[in-house]
Amino acid sequence: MANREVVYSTCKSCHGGCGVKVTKEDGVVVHIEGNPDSLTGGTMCSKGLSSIQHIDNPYRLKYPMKQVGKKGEGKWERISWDEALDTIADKMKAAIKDYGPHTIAISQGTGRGYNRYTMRLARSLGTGNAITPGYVCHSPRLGLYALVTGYGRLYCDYHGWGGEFPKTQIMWAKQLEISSADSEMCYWYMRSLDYVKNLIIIDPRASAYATRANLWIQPRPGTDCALALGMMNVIYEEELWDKEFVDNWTFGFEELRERVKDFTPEKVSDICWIPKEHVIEAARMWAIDTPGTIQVGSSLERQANCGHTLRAITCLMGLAGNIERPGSMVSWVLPDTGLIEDFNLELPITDEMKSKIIGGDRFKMGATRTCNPDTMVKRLLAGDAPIKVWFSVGGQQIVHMANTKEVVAAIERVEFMSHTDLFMGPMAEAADIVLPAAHWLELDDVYDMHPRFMIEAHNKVIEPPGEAMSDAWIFNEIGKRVVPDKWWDTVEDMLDYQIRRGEGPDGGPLKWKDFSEKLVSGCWGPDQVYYKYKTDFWREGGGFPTPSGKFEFKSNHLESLGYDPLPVYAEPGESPVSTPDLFKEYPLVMSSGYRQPFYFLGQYRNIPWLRSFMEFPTCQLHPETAKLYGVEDGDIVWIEGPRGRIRQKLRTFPGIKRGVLMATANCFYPEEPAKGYHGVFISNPNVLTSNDHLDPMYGSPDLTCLLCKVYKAKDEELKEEVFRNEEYGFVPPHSQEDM
Amino acid sequence: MNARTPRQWMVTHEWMIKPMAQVEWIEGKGLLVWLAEVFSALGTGLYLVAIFFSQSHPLAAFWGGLLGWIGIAVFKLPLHLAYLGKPWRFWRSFPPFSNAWKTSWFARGIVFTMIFLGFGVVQLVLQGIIAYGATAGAGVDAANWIFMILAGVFCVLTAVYCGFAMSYCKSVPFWNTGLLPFVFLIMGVADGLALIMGVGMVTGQELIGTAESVTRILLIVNALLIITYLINANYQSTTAELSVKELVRGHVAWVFWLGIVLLGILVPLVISVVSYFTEQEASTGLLIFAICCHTVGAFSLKYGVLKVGIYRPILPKAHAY
Amino acid sequence: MRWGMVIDLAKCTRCHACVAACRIEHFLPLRVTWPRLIALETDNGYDVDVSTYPVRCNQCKDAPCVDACPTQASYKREDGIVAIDHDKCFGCRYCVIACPYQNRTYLSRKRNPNYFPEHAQTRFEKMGKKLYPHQVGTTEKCNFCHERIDAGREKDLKPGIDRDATPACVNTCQPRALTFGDLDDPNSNVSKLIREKSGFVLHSEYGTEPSVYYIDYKLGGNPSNKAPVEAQTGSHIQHLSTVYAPSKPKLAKKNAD
Ligand code: SF4
Ligand code: SF4
Ligand code: SF4
Ligand code: SF4
Repeated sequence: MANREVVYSTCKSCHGGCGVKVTKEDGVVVHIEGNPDSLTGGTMCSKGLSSIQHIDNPYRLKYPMKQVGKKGEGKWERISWDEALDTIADKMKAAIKDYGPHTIAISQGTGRGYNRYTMRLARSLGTGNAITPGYVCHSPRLGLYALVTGYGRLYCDYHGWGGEFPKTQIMWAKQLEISSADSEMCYWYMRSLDYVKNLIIIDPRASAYATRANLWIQPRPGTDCALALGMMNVIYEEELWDKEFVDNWTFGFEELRERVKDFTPEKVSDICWIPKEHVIEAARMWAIDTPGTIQVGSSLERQANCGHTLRAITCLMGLAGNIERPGSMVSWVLPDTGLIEDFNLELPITDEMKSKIIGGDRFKMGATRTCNPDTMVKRLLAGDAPIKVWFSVGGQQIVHMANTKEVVAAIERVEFMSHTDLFMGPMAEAADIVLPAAHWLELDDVYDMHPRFMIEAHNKVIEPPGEAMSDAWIFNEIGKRVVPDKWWDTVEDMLDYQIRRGEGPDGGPLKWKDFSEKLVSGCWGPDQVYYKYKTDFWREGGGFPTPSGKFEFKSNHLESLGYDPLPVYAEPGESPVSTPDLFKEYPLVMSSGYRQPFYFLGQYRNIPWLRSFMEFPTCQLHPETAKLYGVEDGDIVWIEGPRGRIRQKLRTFPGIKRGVLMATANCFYPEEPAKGYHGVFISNPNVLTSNDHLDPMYGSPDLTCLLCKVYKAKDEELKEEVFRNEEYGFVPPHSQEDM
Repeated sequence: MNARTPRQWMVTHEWMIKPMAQVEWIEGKGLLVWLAEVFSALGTGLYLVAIFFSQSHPLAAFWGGLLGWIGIAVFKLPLHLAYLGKPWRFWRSFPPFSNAWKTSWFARGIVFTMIFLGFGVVQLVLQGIIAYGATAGAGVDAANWIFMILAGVFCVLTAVYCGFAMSYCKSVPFWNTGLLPFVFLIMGVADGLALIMGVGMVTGQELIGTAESVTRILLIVNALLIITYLINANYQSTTAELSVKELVRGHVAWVFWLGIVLLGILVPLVISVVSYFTEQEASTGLLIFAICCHTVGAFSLKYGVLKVGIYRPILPKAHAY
Repeated sequence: MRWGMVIDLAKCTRCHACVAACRIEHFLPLRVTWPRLIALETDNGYDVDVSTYPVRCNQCKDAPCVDACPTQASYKREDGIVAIDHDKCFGCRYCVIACPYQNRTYLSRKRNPNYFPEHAQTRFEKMGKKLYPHQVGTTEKCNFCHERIDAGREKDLKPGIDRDATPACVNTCQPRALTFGDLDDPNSNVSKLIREKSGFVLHSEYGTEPSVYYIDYKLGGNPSNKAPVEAQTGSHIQHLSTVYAPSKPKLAKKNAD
């Protein structure tokens, strides 16, 4: 009888959190499915399930390597872990000594599992220059929630623990149904749909539920702030606001009324290219059928007016009293293990560190704890080399940042860079040293994605390939070498430390060993507390933890930073309205907000099962728009903007707004050669985006609203391997098999 | 739209949304099915025509029948078996190992073929005795008659079963019609007539005149049948209409116009009509040419029909289909 | 007893998890997919319809594929499942052509490269050859996970209710768009859904009587947003909660600090 073994763990293939049950037979993983006895009821998506193809994947990085050619040439030589770590540590020490700790940058990707490690490493080294994609994903939301409510974490309460499910749900530029990204879990959202009265989808492109929702609004990309202001206008005009909440718990109600007065449904209809009835209907549903939730998508944070857009949306929540009610926007009571981010927050960011943050002088909301990556790129190009050593983990800055050409040129100028990853990708090719990381099936760690109501355990199912190591181990090793007093002897000590506030079986502090068996530490059902502002929870005598103690429609703090204290609408940097001349040449509004359920940002194009679902990065046009510009379904088309052009496969799709082109973002081709950074210039929409026009608060560029034109690519323009290989759909990328 | 792009990967947006052509029976190894079906038509056609001449031209009937039998035994059946994913399991399709013949035209086909081959071989021996034997008695003649009828019946069944097998496929509206077996049968007989002329030329028996006059009629009947078939398909369903379009105007149009219409029907017809009006038998060269054309026509017909077998899309709501 | 599936078109998100689950469950060769997703995206001038039709073998009551099969390798089980005996199938593909729903795939050598063509087989693949051998040269299709159903029923589990007796794709679907159960039982979950939400089958005019039904409706419009007690208490997950059950009231307090 074969030897069967079951291991329970937690998936991290998107931001994750789904319970996983892995079956091994004779030591080989033969099955992955959802863990039925978990918060997600045994369900999993294609990304998580296909994790099985990370195992024995020949393209995985297996050993530390150093670049022996020029950056981007793809000439690598295997080295030992000691050599790799010592080199990195020495470079860091030298940089601290010669130029100061702020010249070290610690960068990460979307941050699954390693958020707290990157931040702790940065802070323990004494640099505020952490580089994260936060400013185009999630940070603005948290910052603005914090500004308005005093508490940065507002979640949609899809759970019914307070007795009610949301009656009105808005999905704003978000496809929560296809992954548990950002801060919510799709499983709970979709369960709550059985109780919803109004489902409103706001998206220029039909997401899965758009055509069956009660209302589907297709605003022109980049105009969402106007829509929110218009909805508030209707609420004011029709006196639909929540009287009790507004009278007792808010600040700046009249000033906001003044501000939204102009944004009549007619005007909003002109700005957003939508029928005015949509504005009115949405406002009524939202304000009358409470409680309700707004699920915000990060596309809104990839726009240069993101600060005000999110501010406006947050105000909209307040007007309807959809704060802290069961079934509305709620901040969670944390599990007994506490705020896991204390792991990095406990190392304070000093004024000295703050003063050296790149972009900190300009983006006073965004660049206070992390640097503004676009400013960094500009400074690197200007030659004043603010960064000497760059320690990069996971993220593909080359792919997700605006203006790929400039980003590549800038990164090539960094004196020393290391990159930690599972596979070779653009950032790895730009590095001097790459470190092989373990997949979530191959590591022990605490799972936490923003303070949800629970943390979970990743349990090691199998050994990583070659010498790959977990992120936690890599960070700890670097930390130990440079600032030993802030790090631990072993990873297990570090894990114990992170969950020490929990209660162990013996009544003492919770230990990793016990937690890993129990899998979850969470707080739900009757343990969750609603209406916190009516209790002493945040403030003695009730109220919000804001300067005024109220929910702040108007923010004096913002004013003191030099920003408008109320939400304002601004056109995108390039749009039919702001640059009419450019619009003549580039007559399509382009967005790069298209995400597929089987990819997570730049990942998984080297997982055959997932790649099988969509070989080529695909853009969508309405059939009529396509006809107008002479392109057809299935064509490989050029998408051209003022800064360059890319090729994607065209799908005509009646679910997309006429006049809008929706391109797939974050695409490079693992199978393309190192030269050209794995085809990052072939299809990546950021070749077209601008890093000159940035959000004043957060420094976010217009990644999801720009202008373009489209035309068919000629056959002779499709020379790259990826367009030619018919047999396999994709060719094997760089492999370490023979090393 | 290209109806026939075979996808390597699963593509949510293309698969069975658009009408797609079947590939299993015409592409790659599937070409063997086509060849097998062509030999099936030629073989059965030749055999049937041959037994028709059994009395008047016994020598030609013997050789024609033999060639037809060989077409089935040596080409059709082995080609079909070679096409199978697991050829050595071929025995699983006939009794007593399986009762599938009760429902499956394919199984029936194999049974018919084998029975035909059995009766056929006996009949050919008898025919050989009649053609060459000095002592052809009445007994031999009678036996020959019996076996001719038996073999003939199974030969017809063998000729029509693949048409029935195809017409059974609800998934492919172009095939899903009762006319198909008859088109195949008539075309097969016409092919047989052409071939028997060739045989006649070698054996020196004067059957060309008779064959020609029957061919003339058959060719016209056939042309009409094909036209009826196409018109019928055109109105039957949108998908079948698409198949017709694909056949007469699409990627395989050249097969249709050149192979089926010109070489398969027009050229032989013109040759035989001309010879009819000039009241002279066509020259040997011209005859050989006509026979070749005809045979090319046989290959083309099966190819065209298999190639434009377009599946009906799966979604009933997908408008326009 | 006749096993059937109801697919909720309103809920399906086109996430492809069912495809991935089936691939894992049956160690599917690289280029074979038993269940597929079909996109229906139409605009009739008034209404845009963006739908995803998950399709898999319909386990037709009157199955043309079974009739067509010359070897009786394709056969109908007592419980309505159309199965294939891969030791009998000789790979004639007649069933592939005859299935009006295109739910069969012939496993050619070309469809069966290593997961990473030009590289060694992964351990998962090698193990698959042992645990779920596929025969190149035969035809395959969705079998309603009858291995799971049979194993589960042996343990007295109920398909569609108990996970270990339920198809893998049904288990993994996050919006619960797939429901499995007994069509012959008028009180089963599937029968109820078909009745209440007017279930329909694809191409009923083929007369094959599929066992896979579809339901479609508008989301929203639910009469009440009141959470049932189980949802309020989170009873089904309560035992997972806060690690070693510390005294509950302490909890909220602690976080407030
Ligand atoms: S798993 Fe469910 S939601 Fe996802 S594609 Fe399949 S049926 Fe649709
Ligand atoms: S769907 Fe196709 S393969 Fe499945 S039972 Fe029906 S005819 Fe056979
Ligand atoms: S391919 Fe196999 S299962 Fe299909 S009809 Fe032929 S023998 Fe039967
Ligand atoms: S029922 Fe089983 S075999 Fe059929 S598609 Fe679902 S997982 Fe695959």
